[in-house]
Amino acid sequence: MCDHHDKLRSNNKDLQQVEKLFDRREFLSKTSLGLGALAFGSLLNAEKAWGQVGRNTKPDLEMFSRNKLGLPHHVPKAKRAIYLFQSGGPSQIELFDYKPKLKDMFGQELPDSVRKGQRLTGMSADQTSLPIAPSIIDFKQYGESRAWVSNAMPYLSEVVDDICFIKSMQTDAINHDPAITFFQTGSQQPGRPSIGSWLSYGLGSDNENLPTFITLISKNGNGQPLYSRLWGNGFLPTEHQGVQFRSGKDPVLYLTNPENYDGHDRRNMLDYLGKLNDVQHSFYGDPEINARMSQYEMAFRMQTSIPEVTDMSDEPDYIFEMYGKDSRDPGTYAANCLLGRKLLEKGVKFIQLYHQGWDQHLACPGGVLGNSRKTDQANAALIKDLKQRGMFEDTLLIWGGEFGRTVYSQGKLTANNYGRDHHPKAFTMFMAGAGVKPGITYGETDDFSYNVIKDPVHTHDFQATLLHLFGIDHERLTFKHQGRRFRLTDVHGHVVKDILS
Amino acid sequence: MNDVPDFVMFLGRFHPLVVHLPIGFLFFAFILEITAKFQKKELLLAAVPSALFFGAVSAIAASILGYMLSLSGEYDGDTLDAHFWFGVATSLVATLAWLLKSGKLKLAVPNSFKMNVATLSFLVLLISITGHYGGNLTHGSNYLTEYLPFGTKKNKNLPEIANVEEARVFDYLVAPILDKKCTSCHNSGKKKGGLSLEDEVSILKGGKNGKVVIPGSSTESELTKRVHLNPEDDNFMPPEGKTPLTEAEIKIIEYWIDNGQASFEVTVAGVETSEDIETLLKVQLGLAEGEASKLTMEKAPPVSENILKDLESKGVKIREIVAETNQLDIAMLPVGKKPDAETIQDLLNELAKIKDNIVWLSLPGNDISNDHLKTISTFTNLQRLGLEKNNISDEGVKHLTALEHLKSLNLHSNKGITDSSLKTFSEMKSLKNIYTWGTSITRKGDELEKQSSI
Repeated sequence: MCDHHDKLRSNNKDLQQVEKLFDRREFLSKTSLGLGALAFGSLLNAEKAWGQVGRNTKPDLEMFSRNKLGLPHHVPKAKRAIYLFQSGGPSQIELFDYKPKLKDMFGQELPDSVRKGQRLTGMSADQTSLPIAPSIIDFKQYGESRAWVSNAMPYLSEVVDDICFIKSMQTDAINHDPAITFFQTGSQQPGRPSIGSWLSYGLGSDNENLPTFITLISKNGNGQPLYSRLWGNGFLPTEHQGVQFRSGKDPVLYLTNPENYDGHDRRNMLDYLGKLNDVQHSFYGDPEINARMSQYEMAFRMQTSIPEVTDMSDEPDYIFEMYGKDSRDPGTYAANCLLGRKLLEKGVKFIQLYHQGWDQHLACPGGVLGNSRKTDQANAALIKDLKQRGMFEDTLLIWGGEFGRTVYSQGKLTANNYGRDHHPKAFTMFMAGAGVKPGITYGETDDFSYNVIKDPVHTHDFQATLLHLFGIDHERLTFKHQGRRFRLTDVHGHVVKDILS
Repeated sequence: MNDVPDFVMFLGRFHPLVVHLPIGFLFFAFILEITAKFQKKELLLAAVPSALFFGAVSAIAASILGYMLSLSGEYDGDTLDAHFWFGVATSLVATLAWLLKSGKLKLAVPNSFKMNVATLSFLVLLISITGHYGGNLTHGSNYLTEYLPFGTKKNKNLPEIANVEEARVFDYLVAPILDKKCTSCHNSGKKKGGLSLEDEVSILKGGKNGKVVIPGSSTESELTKRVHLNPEDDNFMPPEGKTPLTEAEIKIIEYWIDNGQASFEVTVAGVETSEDIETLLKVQLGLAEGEASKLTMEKAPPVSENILKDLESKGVKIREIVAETNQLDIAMLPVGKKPDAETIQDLLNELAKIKDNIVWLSLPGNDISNDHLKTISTFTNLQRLGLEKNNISDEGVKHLTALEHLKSLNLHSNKGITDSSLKTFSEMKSLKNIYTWGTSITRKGDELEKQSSI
């Protein structure tokens, strides 16, 4: 434009509009032309005539509103989901992907015909040898589905007939941060919304008193760090970010009233604050003001709903026994699974649970067994518990990490110890519950659990399938940001129809 | 699109009215010129400049209004562009014609009859083309030719078939795909690339680059080669802007060429058919309880927004199962203090007003008792019903037999339900899943499941 005081102006388009409100020229032209326009306007029904098609009005909680995005696109199978994220990259070779032929190849060099020159991480690329390390943990077949499960997961083996194993998962990233970010947001670069945020944005809340998207991190796992952008809203409105529940006295920080404050005038305070914010919003038009207001309101409602939902006293003893003795210790994986179930019952749509510690570069068998002990019983219990409550038909359960592990040993290979490096080209996940075929194994890897030889499922395919189960066509749930319409699956992803029931 | 003020839209809607004025005026100018010449009524010529003037002015007005209308974004690209530019051209040529004819603009152009008729014919041609594109925009491109008395009729009526094996591969499976995606450009009237895909003879004949179908080898057949190219490729079919073939459609055509040897007679039974293909075929023929039919939902009659608003204000969560179907998923989760029996009854009465629209209903932990179920049992479209953690007993369960479409019933933790309800469950024919954990039923879950799993 031809402004001569460019230096004083912002480069930001939105701010420029605000600046215009104070502009001298704007003032003069408004007062001169404006009078005429006013006179003309009052002749017509001005409000209506110059109003805009589809103008945004402030969402009114009291009003019945249909889904503005036209969702769901088709009949949903899942109404809610719990994603048990096994952070670090659990070894498929020690857990689910049974490779008996490896036994005879102990210590042999991984053939180049298998690796095909794949780039390795800096942690094992310098190794002079890549010796094959068969699993020292034994496998058995279970259930009517005859699924292979290792001895590390004795509880899970009881429920294999409810589970759909996907042994042909693939991802693009080989390191933790980009790989987890990729799984959670569909992009290795930070900044995109998390799966839960997309669902919250697309489908809305089922219980106004609780967040739609909740994150739980188990305290009895440690390893690669997790960071709040994994459950962040990216460019979606802020109210869709995941709310992290912590272990201990205050599951949600800053929710209890400060000492010596009874909270009686909180409602009044919020009402007046709301009015002030309304004024700000009508002036600046910043959607974040609305987001902030809805978060205040949510926090206010959570002051009563959170103590109620996190109160474990109404759970009978046999439920605790089912989840294991850890489940009485808030913040452990088992306790989080149990809390997760309670939250699902209360209408929370998406629970993102994390367990760190699956990064077995060294001492792989011991590490796998240790983490399995912390998680196995609770995984199985959660499935059984959801089943008996009739929630399994519309609740989706997902178990998986950000990648798998290599067949070759990282570091020294001995008869009963070895390590495994990151492996993105083939690993195992499982899904169960709403709309997923029970008791099947999908996809196959080669004899080395290194390459997928049948039915590969890429991270984007998994995300597309997840959205599909929620009644969403992954190509049609978009958000326009910086001039581009973004999707969870970016420009990729195919729904894995074969695992749908 | 959101930035279009209502007022502009309001004016834009006058476009279809105003467009008829330039058509009339400009045609009239043409007729005046012709009749003046052939019927020797020279006087009429005096009216031509006026007719052109009004034609030009109304054409410009129509163009502007048309542009306003186009801002709504309701019209599609290519046809709209053509309509727009022909409209602009008509306005410009009409203005020019008026300027020349009225003597406002003096060019070294002879004011001869031939010259005038040429200009006016050109105008008539322009306005006809503009009008044709306009008509296509409003009514669709086949509006004009749909009931053409000559030419081939598209609807070959195939007899209905009951199972996949009977279907003739070409007629039932391949031809519909070609009709949908190819024959708009490759037909006997419009042979792009010299190729028609309308019937057996022309398909066998191929196009100007030779045969398009080589029996037994889809990899060598031009027909399938072209659809596999990179969409950026100039030779990719269907060309840019047209809907590409879906993966299923490609697979079916390949199946016909490879397994069916591109025969026009063979039926599915006579061709080696893998399971995957068979499901595809079933879906294509609408015989399968295919993916598609599982995912869609019929529309229910609309419901009063006021009732919905009212229910939401009472803490009931209402969602459409699929957007814009009016098929509702209704839930009331217990919050804080449980409502008393009367409140629940009032609420159910309220729900009864929209009962035909309720397909999924979830009322856990709301102290629902047997009497309430009388009302719920009138919600006959229910498919899923969640009544866990309530005070229901065997007496109440009996009411639920009226729910003929009920597929899933959750009664867990209703202590009053005993083994005698098992008989009631067995009477509910459509029931697939029933949850009775925490009731007084002694039989094991899997036995129950088997009983009601059919």
